Amino acid sequence: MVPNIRVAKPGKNLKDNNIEEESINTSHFMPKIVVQKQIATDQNTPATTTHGLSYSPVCIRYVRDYTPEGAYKIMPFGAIGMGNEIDNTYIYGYYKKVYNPNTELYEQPIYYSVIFSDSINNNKDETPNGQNQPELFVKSGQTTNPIYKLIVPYCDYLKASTSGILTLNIPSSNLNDSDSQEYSSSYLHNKGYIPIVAPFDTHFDSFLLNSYYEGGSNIPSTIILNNIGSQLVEQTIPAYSASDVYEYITYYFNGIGLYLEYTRLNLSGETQNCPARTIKLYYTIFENQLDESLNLL
Amino acid sequence: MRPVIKVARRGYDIRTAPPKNLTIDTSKNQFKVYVSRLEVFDLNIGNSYTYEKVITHPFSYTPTVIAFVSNITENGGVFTASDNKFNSLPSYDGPGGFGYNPLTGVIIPGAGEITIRIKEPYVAPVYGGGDYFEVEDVVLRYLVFVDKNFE
Repeated sequence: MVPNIRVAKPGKNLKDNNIEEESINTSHFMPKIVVQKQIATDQNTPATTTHGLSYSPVCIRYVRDYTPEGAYKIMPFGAIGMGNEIDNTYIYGYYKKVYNPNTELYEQPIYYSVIFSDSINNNKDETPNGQNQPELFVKSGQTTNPIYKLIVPYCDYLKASTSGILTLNIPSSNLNDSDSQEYSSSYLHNKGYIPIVAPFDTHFDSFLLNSYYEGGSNIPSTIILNNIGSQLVEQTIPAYSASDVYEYITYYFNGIGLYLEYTRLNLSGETQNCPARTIKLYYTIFENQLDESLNLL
Repeated sequence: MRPVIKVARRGYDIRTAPPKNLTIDTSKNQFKVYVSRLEVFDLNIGNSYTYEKVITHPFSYTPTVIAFVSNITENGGVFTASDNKFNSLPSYDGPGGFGYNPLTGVIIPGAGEITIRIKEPYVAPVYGGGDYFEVEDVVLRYLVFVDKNFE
């Protein structure tokens, strides 16, 4: 029998045998963070950097702009799929240039990578041995293979701090020609550092709803941003699409909070009745600090 | 009193270390993987240049997913799936032949299941593409977490 360590979440009971209510359960592996890299480049050079493992590792990537507080976001896939590549040597960072008020130039943004020990396509795991710290193996007879090290105290794990729903309710209204309206919502975590934030698969920054929903004719009344990257691909990444009212959504986070912003602009030449919208983002803020460099290899 | 397992980073005292300097802290939820798999498949006319993986799960919500698909390169009209270069999902790309990954990949939520769909986008030659193509040994790697993405 394989030994197992389980700890229930606060207020929950292990006897319920519900994995959703357990904060740790060693029958489910937890990806180990072994490297975190911050990459700043010049205005022209894409951020390609080594990750230090001999195989292609599972990873999560973010970008930030140059505003004083920073606007951090999960790496968007960009217009032609760029920015999401990793191989057995490099992490490739490509993204549109962003304005840097310090240099007054448009430059490559700063890239952040969270790299796990798990290989994408094979059974390798270069979690380092030893380091004179305790380890916990959970499979007998497999103790020489790091992939079976379930708890490696000198690696880091994704530890949720808070989770919730950031909601932005936009009322219906009549909008005069050439007028715009802005709405915003935020959750302040006040950690004082930049945390790792989920969802990991949004893959967008600012986007124009109208382009993705056939000129705005079928924009849903409730938009869940968590899966928006896949939704946008399913809609087929479009060319610019003319519309009467243009609706933009922006989502980002920094060391103070998470922010959701919505703008609509009437360029139709006449007053438009704009429908109500609800925009939701289910978020998890981790204790893990994104803006620090780690090399635990 | 509820038991807890905490491990501090090297150089920190477990009694005083702030949460971000604990590598393990069971008073917080640690993200856990429900299922992790590697799939290898071909794309051809027989499957309409599309591969779908349906993953069932017991959760009442859509769990967090991290997934990767092979990068595709083209050389002289022959398309090859890289065995060491990958793109994270969701991925989208334009025409093949420009050195970009020409596969699109999406994660589609459903009741008690999620579907990962990898397909070739048809891109008309006038936009730099050139019909569908056959490619072998495409790798899809996914990690489905216990932990919620959204409802």
